[in-house]
Amino acid sequence: MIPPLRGLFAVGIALAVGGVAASIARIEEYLATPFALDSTSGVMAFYTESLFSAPDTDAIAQYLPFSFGIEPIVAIAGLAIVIVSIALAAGLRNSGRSAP
Amino acid sequence: MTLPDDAPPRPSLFLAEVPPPVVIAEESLMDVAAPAPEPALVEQEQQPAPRPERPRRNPWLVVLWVFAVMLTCGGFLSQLYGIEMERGMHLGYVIGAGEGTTYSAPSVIDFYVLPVVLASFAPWLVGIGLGAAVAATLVHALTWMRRESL
Repeated sequence: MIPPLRGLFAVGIALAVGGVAASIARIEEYLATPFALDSTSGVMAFYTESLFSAPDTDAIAQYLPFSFGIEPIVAIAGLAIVIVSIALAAGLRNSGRSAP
Repeated sequence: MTLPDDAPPRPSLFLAEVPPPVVIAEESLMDVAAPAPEPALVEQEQQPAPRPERPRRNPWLVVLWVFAVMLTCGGFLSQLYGIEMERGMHLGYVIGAGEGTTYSAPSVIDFYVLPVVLASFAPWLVGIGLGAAVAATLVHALTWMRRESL
C-alpha cells in the first residue's frame, strides 16, 4: 500500500473506531440516567393503558427515548473510508503501479 | 609367410589380436560404470511442459470481497432483526420472550437502545457492503479489460 493510501486507511480506522467508541459511550451515558430506568415502566404503562384504559399521562411523561448524535455517522464514514482505501489499493496492485 | 588378401583370417591369428580380458573387481566396476541419471532429471524429461504460472491473487481484492459479503449480510440481517423487534414492540412482546408472553418486562436495552442502534447502523452497513461489492467488481472488470487489450 502506497503511503497516501496508508494515511487514508489510518484515518478511516481512527474514525470508525472513534465512532463506535463514541456510540458505546452514548449508550452507557443513557443507561446511567434515571430516565432510562423509568422508561420501560412508562412505555409499558402506555401500551397497557392505551389498550385497556385511558393513558396515564404521568407515566408517559417519564418516557425518554434513546437517540444518537453524530456518532453513527462518524463510524460509518470511517468504515467507508477504509473500504475506499482498500478498493484503491486493490486497483493499484492489479494495475501494477503499487509497490509490492 | 604371407596370406593372400582374399583369404579368411585364421582363427589363431584373429584371437591373438584380441586384447586379453581384464579382470575388474566388482567394487571398481561400480566406480567405473557410467553414472546413473539423476532422478530429478529423469522426472523432468518425463513430465509435460510446465503450465504457465497463475497470477498471484490480489490480497486487497480478497479483503474487499470479504468486507462486501460481511457488511451486506450483517447489515441486512440487522435490519431484519430491527424490523422484527419493532413489530414485536407494537404487538406487545419482545423477541426472545415469545409471542405468547405479552407485556413481559423487557430491558431498557431491548426496548429503546437496540432498535435505535440497529436503525442507525444497519442501512448504512448494507450500503457500504454493496459499495464494496461494486468496487471489487469494478477492479475485476478493469483487470479483465486490460488483459483483453493486451
